[in-house]
Amino acid sequence: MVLTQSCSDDELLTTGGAEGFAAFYRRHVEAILRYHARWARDAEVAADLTAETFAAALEAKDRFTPGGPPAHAWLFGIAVKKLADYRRRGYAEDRARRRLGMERVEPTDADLRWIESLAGDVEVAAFVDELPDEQRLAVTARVVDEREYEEIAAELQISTAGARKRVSRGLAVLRGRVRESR
Amino acid sequence: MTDFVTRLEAELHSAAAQRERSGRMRGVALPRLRVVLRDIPAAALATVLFALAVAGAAIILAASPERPADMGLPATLHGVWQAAPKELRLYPPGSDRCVNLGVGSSAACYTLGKSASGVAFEWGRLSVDGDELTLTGKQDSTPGVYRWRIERGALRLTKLRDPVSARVRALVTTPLQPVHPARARATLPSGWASHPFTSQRFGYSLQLPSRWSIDTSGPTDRFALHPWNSTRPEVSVVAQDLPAGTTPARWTVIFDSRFESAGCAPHDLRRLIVAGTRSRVSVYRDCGDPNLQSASFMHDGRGYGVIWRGRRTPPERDYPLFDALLKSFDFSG
Repeated sequence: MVLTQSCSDDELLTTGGAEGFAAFYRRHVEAILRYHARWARDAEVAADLTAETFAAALEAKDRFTPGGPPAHAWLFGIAVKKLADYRRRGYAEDRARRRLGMERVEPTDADLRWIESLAGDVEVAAFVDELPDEQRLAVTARVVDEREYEEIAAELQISTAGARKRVSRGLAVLRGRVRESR
Repeated sequence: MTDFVTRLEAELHSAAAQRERSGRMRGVALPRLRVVLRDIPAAALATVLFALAVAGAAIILAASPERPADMGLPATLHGVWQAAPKELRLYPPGSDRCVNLGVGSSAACYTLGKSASGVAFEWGRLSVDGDELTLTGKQDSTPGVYRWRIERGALRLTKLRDPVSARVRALVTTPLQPVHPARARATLPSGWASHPFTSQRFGYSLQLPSRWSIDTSGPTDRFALHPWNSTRPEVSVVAQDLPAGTTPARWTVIFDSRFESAGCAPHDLRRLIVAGTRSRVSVYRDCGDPNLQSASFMHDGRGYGVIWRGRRTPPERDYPLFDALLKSFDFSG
């Protein structure tokens, strides 16, 4: 397969082989790094989580179904899980990388500064922490962990409409604070 | 600057290629082979395998193109060439960078990336035959052939044939300006790194320029033409015992913090093997001196820091000089 700029993510993942996966990585690495940098709030952890996210994606790519949810959403699903694992365990796991025999890529100081700069809106994460508990839990579950409203509602023991309202109010507060801070 | 992205891609690409190879072996070839093998009597099988081996060898010998000689890379082409927002980096055979990118230890290689961040989005082998430069990317193995010439110091590439339009756009639209013009042409002065010195207190040896003097009266070993008159360039070496468990990366952070706490930001970061040990060199511009480079590495539980202070700018002009001194480090004595 000849790889061109116009190849879709689905094509890169399913028929592009190693080169296709590398091209898929180049397309999305910055977004994944930014996501992890924003929510892990540690550039080095973000680098490790990004490496683990792509390693897990490489392992799982044979199970990716073209024509289903977009490939970037599939990739973010993996990233969300890796971030959640990190939060639960307190460290970034490296199981997928080890299974693939990948060496840890140690970010340089310059890399770390760049990753921190990617986070950009890192203050947003600080504002999330300042939200009232009920809004913080709902916003985090919806925006960070990308969970369904029904699931959030069940966990918080409220109605689905109530969960939507909490997320919506939380996001409105965040928008206001970000506006004030700039 | 964002070497991480490039190095991670190299790791992922290598893992993906490995999986691809093992997947092909596992998923297709072997099961079919097993089915066939089961149905063939042993004697017939041995005959068939022998015949296949002979035929295979003959086909391979007949079909393999003669391996082209390694064309190397003219010194005038070495280094970084930029036409913002793109940059082309050309590395001679044997460069660590080519090894790290999985291109091979003995091949010349190139990277094509963003000039602002230094992130490479394409890399691969290169060869030069006269005025023809061939770039064969690892991502897209289609070779691109260009005619090169140096015009008023800039590298001008003309496309001869290259089906990869993105690469053509990056390379031929404007002349590529050299970022480290002097680096490629730099040669070591006569007698550079030729005069042995052994530091008893820090436990290392190195080779100095023949006319340089040595000052070991202070907390660091200092070397320069006249170290007492603050002549430049000057090299100083310091070492200290480190707590158990200190990693080379941690030592680098400790050592470089003296410059960064003074408000100096690295202009460039390089990696070098010093006495068999990985070393990182941080390069600063206008950090007390116009050209300050700090190399840090560990040996036997000790952290070593070597500082180059020079006046020449850009700092890249002094890379070969400092590197030659660093590479002369020895701990065997």
